[in-house]
Amino acid sequence: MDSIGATTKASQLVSPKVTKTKAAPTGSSTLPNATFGCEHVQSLFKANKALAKETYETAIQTLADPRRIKPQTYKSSSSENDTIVVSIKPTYLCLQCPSIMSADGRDKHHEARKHAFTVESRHGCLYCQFCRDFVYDPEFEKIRAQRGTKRKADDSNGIEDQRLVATHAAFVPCRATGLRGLYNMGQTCFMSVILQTIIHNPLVRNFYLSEGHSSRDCDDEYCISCAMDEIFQEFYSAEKTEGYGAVSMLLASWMAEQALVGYQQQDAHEYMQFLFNSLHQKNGGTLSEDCSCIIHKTFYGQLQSTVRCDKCKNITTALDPVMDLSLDIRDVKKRKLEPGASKAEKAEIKIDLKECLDSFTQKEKLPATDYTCQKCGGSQPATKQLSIKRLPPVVPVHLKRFEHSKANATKLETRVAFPLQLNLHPYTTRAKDANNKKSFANGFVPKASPELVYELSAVIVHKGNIDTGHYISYSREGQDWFLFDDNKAVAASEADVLEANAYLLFYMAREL
Amino acid sequence: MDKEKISQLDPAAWSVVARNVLDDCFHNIIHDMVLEIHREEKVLRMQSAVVIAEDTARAQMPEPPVAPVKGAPPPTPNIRVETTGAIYENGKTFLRGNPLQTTPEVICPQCRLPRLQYPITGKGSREPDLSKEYCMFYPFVSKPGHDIYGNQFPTEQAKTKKERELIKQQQRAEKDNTPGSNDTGTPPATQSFTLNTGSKPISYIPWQTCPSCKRSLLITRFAQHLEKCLGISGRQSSRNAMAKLTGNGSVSGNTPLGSRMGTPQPGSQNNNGKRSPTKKGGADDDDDDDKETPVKKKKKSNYIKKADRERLAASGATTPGSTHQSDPKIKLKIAKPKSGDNGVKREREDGDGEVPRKKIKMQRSESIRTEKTEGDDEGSDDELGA
Repeated sequence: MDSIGATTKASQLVSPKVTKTKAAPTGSSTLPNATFGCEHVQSLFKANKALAKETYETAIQTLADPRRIKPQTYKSSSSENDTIVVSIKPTYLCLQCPSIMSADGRDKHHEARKHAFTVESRHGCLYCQFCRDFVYDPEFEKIRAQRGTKRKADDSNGIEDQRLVATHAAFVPCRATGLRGLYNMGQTCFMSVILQTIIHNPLVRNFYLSEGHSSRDCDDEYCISCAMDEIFQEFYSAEKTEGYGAVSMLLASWMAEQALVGYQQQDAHEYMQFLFNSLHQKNGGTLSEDCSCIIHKTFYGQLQSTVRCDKCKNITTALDPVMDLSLDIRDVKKRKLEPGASKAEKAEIKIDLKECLDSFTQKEKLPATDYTCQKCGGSQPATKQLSIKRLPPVVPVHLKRFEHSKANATKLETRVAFPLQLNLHPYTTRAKDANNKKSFANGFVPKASPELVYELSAVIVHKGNIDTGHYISYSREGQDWFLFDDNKAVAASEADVLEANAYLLFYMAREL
Repeated sequence: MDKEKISQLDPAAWSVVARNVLDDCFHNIIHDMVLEIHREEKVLRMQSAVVIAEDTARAQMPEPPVAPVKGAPPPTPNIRVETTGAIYENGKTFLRGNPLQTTPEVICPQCRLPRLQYPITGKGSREPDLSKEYCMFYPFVSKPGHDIYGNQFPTEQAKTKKERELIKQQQRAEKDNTPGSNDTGTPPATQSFTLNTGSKPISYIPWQTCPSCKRSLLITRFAQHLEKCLGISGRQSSRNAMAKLTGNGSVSGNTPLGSRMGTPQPGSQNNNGKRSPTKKGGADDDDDDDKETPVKKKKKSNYIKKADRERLAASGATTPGSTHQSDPKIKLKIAKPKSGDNGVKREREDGDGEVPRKKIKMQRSESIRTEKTEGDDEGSDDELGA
């Protein structure tokens, strides 16, 4: 409740206008919603609500089938003979009978059979022939949101709960969208970009906005999690659009980590690791593997390293906890370059994120000096392969642009192309195992491999050279991209994002 | 059989098939996008229709005899009201017709004010009807040189003090000429009217009170100040000097200045040009401080300028006695154990000991060079303001 109290207070301070409108009795503080999608759905429900919901649920389940052949096949009923057509375009499933039709057939079907409701096959939206439009009925939308999976019903919509919410909650100001810049307090852009990325991470945001860590109940001085909580409150409940000075976060970071102290530039990746670690500790983190803190829930993955002895074929595996994938770009670039490449070619070469991931998870030879087989004893050459054993909901990808050798440190400016959507399944342990098996048994036809689609959610870019530079970040809110450059929040296009010379990438699972 | 049939298809037919498949794929992409936008918009209009109906109902509802008790469920009027978009009946609202046609305006379901439909400036902007009050959630502005709220970025990052004052004066003069044009009045002839955005301009930089010395300073200098205020800068400069000595040859004498830049602008040559004026401006600020509260500064800040040190050493007896100074230091002591810097901090506690100790430290790490870096540090301090 503290955050809500702070909200109203803040809005009073900022704009008395909003408070005035709020003072008017708004009936309830839950969102106003139409009871039905349209008049015709209303009469449909009046006739037999249970049946209508059941058939709609069946239709949605049919559409959830990944092969999708069934819902995409319809009978083209021309005058004489019926032909079976498999369509790429959306089809329409009748809600009142088992027919499947094309868009034209849908209208004919309505004329012939007077069946007015059809379900569109790509998204499961309901089409009403009377409205001649898609309708979005609250009950049907609830079913649609489950996408055919039998999830346990969302209990939060009980009447009792609604009343509770209505009486105890207040709206946050319409303006509090969380899109604000962070002031550069003097070489603190490395901190700003990481904070912006976390601020726009829905999992972490929900944790903090649901009082996951309340600064009121925390006694620690200079607590990083309290500083985080403060930022989330400022961003999502204050009606401000100017930048925010993350002073308490800076102080807390300095107090917690010696290496960060001082007026100097830092590596954003290092700061991210530090921040994750600190937040993990401050939010009831445990040392055990199944730590349930918000950071582990969001970012914790496991890498499996499989080593196979070349002589006795003995396989040993080891699991490593990871919070990000650190990908090498130097070797990938080298491999791609032809030996006699000119300097201009070297500078222009563009590599792909998928190439980096391939290289990361490919088999590599270990020389005998590096491996001692426990089974056959003695030093043996071996084959090592990395794969992702456990994928977290959010995968930070770190491109190793900064190289530190004994003599000097350099930055690789190689462009790495990255997709908006990334299928991580080929890099998992399961996929690699299946691949290895396949190579043993020839003629084995693999099924269509499942996809683990991750969507790009944030990009951090470093501009400048190794000693000095500037960080900016892109974050996605819904389908819109925004660029954060210190205290500036700017609208960005997908093209802008994809053109960025990324240093850190954040991919978020499309479905959990 | 089918296979044979397919292989017998002549190339022309294949090109038709390929074309059709591509067409269908494009169809799907467009279908998906349109449906998504359609859904978003229609749900908003549905809500708007409901809000209008509810508000109309509430307006017609007789005043409740007793003021509703706080915490009790809100009263639901038992009346039937029909609006163009919806029917309100006993606390429930039913749609009438297609809200995309019946309800042309989107009303914010939260604050129940109309939403601005188009950005106020930039891509796809339209001039809003300024006589209305709008929901504060404005469409985001997409315009080069502007942020999503339509604030323009300062064109020149580093303007001299004189220039800035001149602009301020001009703005003030403009304001005086058009009284009351800020909020409700008619927009000026130029397109630069302002809706009540309630936000501060991008160039606005807030002040922040240092938690250690309670001095107020621009937030863009906060990290730099804090470093000094917590007494880290000496150690840092020695570390920098070490890096310079042991490290790479590429780092020339100029680098410390450059590497201390907060947010370098793309054109780095410009910085060289700008350096001197900013530095000067910054130095002015410092001088101001000294003039205003010379004694106070000595008491509050842990960092002591070289020039002040001798003075301090002479009047050392007075300094530790002040209550102001002990306050921030206690805070430091509590926080510091984690960082392992405790020893250094404690040594510095006794005011007299500070000066010689620091010197010893510096001498250890190449005395001449360190002195120089320190000088550089102080010189580049104000770079950040740029």
